[in-house]
Amino acid sequence: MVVPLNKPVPKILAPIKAYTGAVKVVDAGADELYCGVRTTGLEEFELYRGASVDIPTYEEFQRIVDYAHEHSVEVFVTVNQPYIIDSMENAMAKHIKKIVEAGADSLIIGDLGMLQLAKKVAPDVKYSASTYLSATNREAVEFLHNNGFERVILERHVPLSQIKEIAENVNVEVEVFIHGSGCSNINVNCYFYHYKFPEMDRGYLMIDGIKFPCSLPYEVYEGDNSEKIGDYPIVDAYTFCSLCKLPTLLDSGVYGLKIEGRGINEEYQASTTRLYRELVDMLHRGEEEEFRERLEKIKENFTPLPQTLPLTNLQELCCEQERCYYVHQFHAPYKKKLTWQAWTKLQCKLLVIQK
Amino acid sequence: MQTPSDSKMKYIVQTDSINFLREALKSKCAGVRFGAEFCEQRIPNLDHLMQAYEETVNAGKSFSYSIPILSNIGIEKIRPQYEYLKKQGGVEVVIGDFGALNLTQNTEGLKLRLGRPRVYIPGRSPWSQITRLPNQNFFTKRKVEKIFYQTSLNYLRSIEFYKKLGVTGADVDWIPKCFPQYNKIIKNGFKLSIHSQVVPIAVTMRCHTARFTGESSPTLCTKPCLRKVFNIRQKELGKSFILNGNVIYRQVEAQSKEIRRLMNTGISELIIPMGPVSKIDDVQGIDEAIAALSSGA
Repeated sequence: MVVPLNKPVPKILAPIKAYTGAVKVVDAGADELYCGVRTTGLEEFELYRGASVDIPTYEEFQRIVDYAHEHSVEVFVTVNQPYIIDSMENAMAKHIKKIVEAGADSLIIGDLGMLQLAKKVAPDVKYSASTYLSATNREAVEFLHNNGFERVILERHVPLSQIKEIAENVNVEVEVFIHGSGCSNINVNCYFYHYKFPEMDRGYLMIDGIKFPCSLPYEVYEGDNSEKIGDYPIVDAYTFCSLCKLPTLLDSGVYGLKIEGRGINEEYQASTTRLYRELVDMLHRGEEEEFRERLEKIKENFTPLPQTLPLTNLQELCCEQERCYYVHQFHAPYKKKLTWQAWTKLQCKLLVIQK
Repeated sequence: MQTPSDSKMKYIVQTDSINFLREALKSKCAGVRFGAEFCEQRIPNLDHLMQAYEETVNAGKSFSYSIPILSNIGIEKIRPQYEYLKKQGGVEVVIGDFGALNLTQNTEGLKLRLGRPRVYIPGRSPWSQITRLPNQNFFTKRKVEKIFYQTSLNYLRSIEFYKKLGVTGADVDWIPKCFPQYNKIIKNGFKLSIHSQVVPIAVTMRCHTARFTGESSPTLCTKPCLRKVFNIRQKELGKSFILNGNVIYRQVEAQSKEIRRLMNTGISELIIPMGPVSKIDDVQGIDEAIAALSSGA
C-alpha cells in the first residue's frame, strides 16, 4: 500500500519522564511529547504506575515546556487517574492550574469528572481523552468529542479496519498506540495493579528490583474439575509493535501515533521515537520499497532498547510471539505453543532491558 | 431522594439467555436484567430481546436491558434494539459503553443507568491489603485506604455530569469496604444496584477463553462461555480466580449478615447472575439464592 502524499503525516507522540529525556526525544523527531507531573498531596497514591514515572517538580516541567516550545513541539500532560473523588479536588485543581500556567498544551484526562474540574480550572487548554475512557467505537469517540475532548486515543483493542472507519468519520483528532507495553485487558477495566501490594511480593517475578505480577503463569482448571489443563500467562503483559502496519495506519487518517513507555528509560524513548520518525517519513515520501527493505533489517537488527543489554530484537520480542499489535486476533495475543517457561524467560529479558 | 427507611431490597436476576429468563420469571425475583454485560458476542438478537421483554412484562416483573463494551459492529447491533426499547416506553438500559450512551442522547423513552464497565472501583482489585503498603506511616496508609475504597461516582461533579445526560443510577459490586461510599452516592441522588457473587477484575475485548476453546474469530464464535467456566490459580500469589468468556472474576460471598448493612446504605437492587459462573440455572437455584440473601434482611 502506498500512502497518498495528500494525507497529513500523523504526529508522533513520545513519552518522557525527565528533562534530559525530553531533549533526546525532541532530537529524535517527536512532534509532541507527553508526561506526568508529580501531584503535590497525592504522591503516595499509586495505581497503575509509580510516582517515579512522573516529572518530579513543576520547575523541571517548566524547563521541559520551554525547551519543547522552542523546538515547536507540543507538550501533553497526563492527569489521567481513572477516577477523582471529592477529597482529591483541591489537590487536583491546584495541580492542573500549575501545569497549565507552565504552558502545557493539552491535558490527557481519564475520567469525565476530572474533565468537569479541568473545564472549570483551565478552560482554555486542549483536552485529550485518555485510554481510560475506553473509546472502542465511533459513537464513543463522538461522545467524548461532544463533551469537550479535542483528541481521543482509541483503546488498544480496536482493529485496523475499525480505526480507519472511526478516523474518517469523526471531527476530532484520533490517536492510536503504536509501540510499547500492554496486555490483552481493557485498560480501565483491569484491576491487576502493578505496584506495592504485599500479597504480590510472594510470587512476583523480581528482576533487579522490578516487579511484574502480570507476567506470571496461571494454572488453568476447567470448572470444578481438579485436573489441570495447562499453565497460561492469562494476564499476559507483553510488548507490542506496529511497524509492519505503519502504511495502513498512515492511510487510516489517524492524527497521532503514540509510543508507550513513560516508565522506561530515555534510551528506549529516544530510539523508538527515532525509528518511527524515520519510517513514517519514508512512507510519506512514497518510498514503499525502501520501507520494506528497512523493515526487514530492523526486525533482525534493531533493538529499540539499550544496546548494551541482552539480545532482544523485534523478531524475537514481537514477531515470533505473535505480538504484532494490529494483527487482529480473537484470542488474546500470545503464542499458543510457547511454554510458560519460555514466556517467562522472555519477559525476564524484557524487564532487565526496561530497567 | 431515597432514604434507608423507605428502601426495600429488590432481587433482580441477570441473564442473556431466553431459557434462563423463563426460569427467572417463575422465581421470586422482582425483575430481570436481560442482555450481555461484558461481551458483545453475547448481545441477544432483536427477536430474543422482544421475546424477553414481552414475557417479562406479561409475568408482571420489571425489565432492564444490559449493554456491554462495544466495537463499531456492536454499535450497529444495538441501534435497532434501542428503537424497539424506546417504543415500549420507560425501559431501563444499563450502559457499559460511552458509544451506547451517545446513542441515547436527544431521545426520550429510556431510563439510563451506568453498567459496571463504566464505574471505576479500585476495590475490585484482587490485592486486598492496601493498608499494609510498605514504607508508609499509619496516617498515610489511612489516607491511601480512604482513596482506594471509593469509586468514580464519589465525586459530585461526576454525578452532576451524568444526571445532565439523563443517567440516574449505576451498577456496583459487593465490596463491603465500599458500602459507606455507596451510601454517599445514593445521598447525592443516584440509584445503585449491587452485583452479588462475582467481581470483575479484568475484561478484554478479545477473548481469554478462546485460548482453550479454539474459537478463531468473532463471527465463528459458538459461545462456549455459556457452558464453560475455568478456575485459574496462581500458586505463588496464593490467588484463585474465575475465568468465563472475556472476563476474569474474583468470587465474593454475599453474607446475609451484611444485607442489613447494605440496606442501610439505601441500595435498591441486588443482582443475582444466572449461568456457569454462579452455577444458578433454574428457578430453584434463584429462590435459594434469594432466601439465603434475604435471611439477613
